[in-house]
Order: sequence, then structure tokens, then C-alpha cells
Amino acid sequence: MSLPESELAVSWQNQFSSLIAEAKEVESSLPFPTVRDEEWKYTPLRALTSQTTITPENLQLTQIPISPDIREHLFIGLDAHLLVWHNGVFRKDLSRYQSLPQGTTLGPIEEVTGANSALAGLIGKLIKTGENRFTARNTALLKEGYGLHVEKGVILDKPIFVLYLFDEQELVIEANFRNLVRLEKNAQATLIEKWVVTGKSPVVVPMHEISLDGQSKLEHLNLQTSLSESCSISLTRVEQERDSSYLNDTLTWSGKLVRNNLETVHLGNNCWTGYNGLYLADSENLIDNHTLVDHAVPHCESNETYKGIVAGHGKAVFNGKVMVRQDAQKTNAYQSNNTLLLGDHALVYAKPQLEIYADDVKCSHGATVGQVDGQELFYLRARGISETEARKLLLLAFAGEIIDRVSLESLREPLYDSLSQRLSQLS
Amino acid sequence: MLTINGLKARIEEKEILKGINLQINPGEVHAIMGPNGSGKSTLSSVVAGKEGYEVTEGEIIFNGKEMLELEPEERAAEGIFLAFQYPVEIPGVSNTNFLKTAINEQRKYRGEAPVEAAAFLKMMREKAEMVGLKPELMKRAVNQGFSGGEKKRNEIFQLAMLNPKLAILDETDSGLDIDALRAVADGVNQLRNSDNAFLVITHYQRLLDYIVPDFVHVLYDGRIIRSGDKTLALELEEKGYDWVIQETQTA
Ligand SMILES: Nc1ncnc2c1ncn2[C@@H]1O[C@H](COP(=O)(O)OP(=O)(O)OP(=O)(O)O)[C@@H](O)[C@H]1O
Ligand SMILES: [Mg+2]
Repeated sequence: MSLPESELAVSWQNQFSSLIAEAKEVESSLPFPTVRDEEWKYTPLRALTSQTTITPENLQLTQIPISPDIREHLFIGLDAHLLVWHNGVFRKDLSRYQSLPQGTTLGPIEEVTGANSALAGLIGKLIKTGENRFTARNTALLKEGYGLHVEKGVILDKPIFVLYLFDEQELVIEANFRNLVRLEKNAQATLIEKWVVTGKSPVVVPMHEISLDGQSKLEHLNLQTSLSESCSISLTRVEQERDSSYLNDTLTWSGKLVRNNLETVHLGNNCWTGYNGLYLADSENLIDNHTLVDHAVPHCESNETYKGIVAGHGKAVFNGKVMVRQDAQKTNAYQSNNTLLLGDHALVYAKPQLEIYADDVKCSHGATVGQVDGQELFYLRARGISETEARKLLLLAFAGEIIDRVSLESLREPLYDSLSQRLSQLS
Repeated sequence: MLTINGLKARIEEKEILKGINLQINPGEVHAIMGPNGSGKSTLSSVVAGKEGYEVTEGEIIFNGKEMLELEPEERAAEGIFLAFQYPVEIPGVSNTNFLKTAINEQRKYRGEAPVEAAAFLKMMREKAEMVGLKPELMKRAVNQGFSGGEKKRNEIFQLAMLNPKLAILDETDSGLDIDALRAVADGVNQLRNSDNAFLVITHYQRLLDYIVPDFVHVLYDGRIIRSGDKTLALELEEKGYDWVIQETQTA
């Protein structure tokens, strides 16, 4: 990037000015979705709409940027390229992404979209401004987020770790992110996104547009593990060309109101899509996962496993839609969703939604809602393990299946520890 | 060590234990035999503290404490161990982690420091060898995918690890091949000493050839209808239960 910072901002404005202007207009005409919308039936947005928020650029005027200690939020022993957003603003000084392999572009979108037309072209390609109020606003406020472009045949040497840290103490920040990923043929990357809230709980709206070329491979972890009382509305859209593979791990054990939309469409044969999800809602929290795999072409496979624990007055929604279109013969689609309810007030709305229009396919789904097994509990207690500890062991074992599916082995133990701690504080 | 007096228990309105009296002293081995459905497993479950039973009368005193007031985990930490007739599989909980947690929870209850990692692993190896449990099974989840015999060996392995004062073995011999039976019996015999006691529930004299009991009791329809020494078991093996039942009914 040869442009100085000030010119960069100007060119950025020019590049997307009409998109942004249009989005601003659309946004004001779109109300927040309500429970009368089928897609938001079980997810009232009161916790979000009732907030008075401030966007990061306004915050900067009142706050002197301070340097938080981010070390404790990184995974020990994980060697990664690092991008840090602090209270919704990119922190170049805390990030580490200069020594990338040849053929890799990585950085905040403001920095990378100017020179990288592949990334610039992704903005608005998969996510349309007018879909709803969130997409419109996310576009109207287009500024923050990362772009990753990996050229043909390049395999990233290390994972990319994106840390979103919020430590603002007084104001409720509304932070929008637009993240863009383009992997070319035979490219491979691993992306870890982690949310850490230590201050006032923000409203976060991350949106991803991900385009995977033939035979490329992306593993994408979304760690919603320290969101505190945040509201998070996320949208991830993925398009896959032939022989590509996309694995998404969404681990959610924090947040007051979390809605994740995760959608993949297959454009070429032999794609593989994996979704692994874990949700833990207690107190009055609500976690809603809406997933979609769109099998539009033949010979693709999808494998989805979501597990959840709901306690207290918590509420979870799982809406897993698998679309197998008429042309998508020889599709293999597998889905399972299991939820444990602890106590009489916990709720889950589980809705597997298989729409199959092809006849030569293998599709299966299973959904269970249950409780901690009494026999197992007694077995543990009869060996001297207290009821509390025994329950925790069983819950951890149940949820652990999802953690074990994370392919980066070095993350599993810290994730177990974090979940274990969380399970000790169920309310 | 264990004194059970006039114990009556019911499950879903159905009386199953109809007045059990039993006294077990340190160093003793007691055997309980009796037809299917007579209440043997119910008795062991009630002693171990399983929920779902309503104890309507009686007491279970263990080393001076009333067990009926304690939670299952407290009874375990006091020194009662139940080797289950049907050990459950617990997917996702590794044997190692399970046992370490169990030992440390019991130690905590007794006000002792947690076991040291190295000492724990050493003990694991020794005891697994003692009961002939393959080391690779330790890495697996508790009982998951274990064969019937491996599950039973695992019960005795846990017994060896936890070293309780009173061990109740509920049909630990059922489903074991000859070698496994001997391994289990050898394990128990090695663990026997003058401070602990065993209550062995079985249908077969065979086990009692290896673990020789001091007392044999016949449980029938919720009551102990006869007690004797080890020769009673031989007699039962030969003649079945009918004669005991008839003698009781005419008495
Ligand atoms: N959960 C339950 N609900 C209803 N009845 C039960 C329950 N558990 C046990 N029983 C009944 O209690 C009686 C005693 O059962 P128990 O398992 O104690 O017998 P047992 O002597 O151990 O038999 P076995 O030799 O077959 O193991 C049986 O009639 C059984 O059907
Ligand atoms: Mg029985």
C-alpha cells in the first residue's frame, strides 16, 4: 500500500460512496425485525433495540485510545497472524500481520480493498444491502472488518487470529464488521475469531462474505465465548466452488442475545461443508442459530452437528435448514441437533428443516431434547463425586464432542477449561 | 461396621424390602444369594443411596453414622462402594479423569490433600495390572464400548483404586469367563484385610470357591430368610431355593 493514511480514507470513501449512500437511505426505511417475521419468530430483539448505542468513530472523539493487555486473550502456544479490533476500531499497533506468505493479502478492509479488486468485489456480492435492517446498517457503516485473499495454491503457514476486544467502561458500543474472504484454487487457511468483552457489553454485528474457489479449504472458528452480556447479530455467507471445503465451528457460551445466521451455497460438485455448533444459554439469555446448507449442485456433502445446554430461564433456537435442489443428485446431507435442558424454565425451539427436491440423495437428521441421565449421574456420585461436580462432568462430556471436532488441537484444552469454568457458573 | 435394622423400602408404591436385618463386621465377607427379583440389587442401591426408593422404616448405620441422611457421594466418601450389576457407559468422560475426580472428591470430603499426579498414575498402572484391565481402556470413556467382562473388571479396578471400607459386589461374577472370574476374585482377595468388609451378591457357588464367605444369607421376597456359613451356599447350589422357602413358610 503506497498511499498515505489520509488519502487512503478518501479513496475508500470514493470506492464505496454510492453503496454506502444507498444503504443509509435503505436503512432508515427498514424497521427492526419482530417476532411476527417468520425468521425471527422466537427471537425478540428488545435487549438490542432498547439500548442507546454509540458507533466506534464517535467514541474515539471522547476517548483517548489506551493500550489494553491482549496477551491473556490469545491462546498460549498458538502461533498466528493477528488482527485486533479494540472497541470496534482496528488497532494496527496491536496487530501482527506483516510476514505473510507470498500471494496472501490480509488486513483491515480499509487497507486492502483499494488495491485488491478480488476483495473489493466481494463487498455486497453475497450480502445484499436491503435484506433487512442489519444488512443495511452494516453496509451504511462500512468501515471496519478484515479482508483475506489467498492466491492459487498458497497454503497459509499459520492460522489467522482475529481478536475483537471491548473494554469501554461506560458507553454501549455498536460495532459493525464486514469481513471478506476469498480463497483461490487450492488455497488453504484457518481463521479463528474470538470475542472478548471485559467492559460494558456492546452490540456487535459481524458479517462475512466468503468465496471459496475450486479445491480450496477454509476452517473458520467463531468463538463467542467471552461476550459477557453482549448482543450479537451475525451473518456468514459462503459460496463454494467444486471440491472446496468449508468447516465452521461456532462455540457460543456467552452473550445476552446472540443470533447467528450461517449459510453456505454449493456452486460446484464435490463440495464439503461442515458445521459444528455448541450453545449454552442460561439466566435470561437467548442464543439463536439459523443455519442453511444450500445443495444446489450434485455430489456434495454436508455434515452438521449442533449441541446445546440450556439452563435457568435461558432460551435457545436451532433452525437448521438443508435445501437439496432438484439438480443436486447424489447429495449426502447429515444433520444432528441435541439439546440438554436443565430445569423447568429452560427452553429450546429446535427446528430441523429439510427441503429435498432431488430423488437420489442420502439425507438424515436427528433432533433430541433431553436431560442429564440419572443413571450416569448416580454412577458418578456413587464413586464419591458431588452432584454438582458430576453434573459438570456430564455436561462437559456432552459438549466436549463439539470441542473435539475443532481441528486445531492446541485450542481444545483452553476451550475445555473455559467451558468448564462457565459450567461452574450456570445460573 | 454396617448395621441394617428393620429396613423397609418401596419403589412406586411397591414394597420391595420388607424388613432387612444385617450386621457386617470388619474383616468379614458376607454373601447374599436369592432368586431373581428378590430385592438384592434394591438392597445394594438403597445402601449406596440411589434416588427413587422410599425408605419407610429402619436404619442403616455405617461406622456409627446413619447413612439414610447422607447423599450417595457422602456415603462413598465414608467408605461404601457399590460394584454395579450393570455398570453404565458414560460417553465423553475418560476413565482417568473420572477416577482422579472421584479420588480427589473423596479426599476433599475427608479433609485430605489432592492426590499427586505421578502417584495417581502409578497407582492406576498397578491396579489395572492387578485386575487384568488393558491399559488402553483407561484412555477410553468410562465403560464405553467395553465388553461385559471388561465392565466388571473395571468395577473391581475402581474398587482397588478407591479402597473402600465396605464393598458391595452386585453379581460381579455374572457374564465373566473363568479367567476373568479368577482375576476379579484374586483382586478382591488381595484387597481383603482385617479393616474392610465385603458383601458379595451372587447366584453362583463358583465365585464363592474363590472368595470364601464367612456368612451366607438367603434373600427372598424382601427378607433374609436364612443365614449360615459357607456350607449354606453349597447346599443351595445342590438343592435350589425351594426347600429354604418352604421351611420358612411352614415355620
Ligand atoms: N424402578 C423399578 N420400578 C419398579 N419395580 C422395580 C424397580 N426396580 C426394581 N423393581 C422390582 O423390585 C424387585 C426386586 O428387584 P431387584 O433388582 O432388587 O432384584 P434382584 O434380587 O437384584 O434380582 P436379580 O437377581 O435378577 O438381579 C423386582 O420385582 C423388580 O421388578
Ligand atoms: Mg440384581
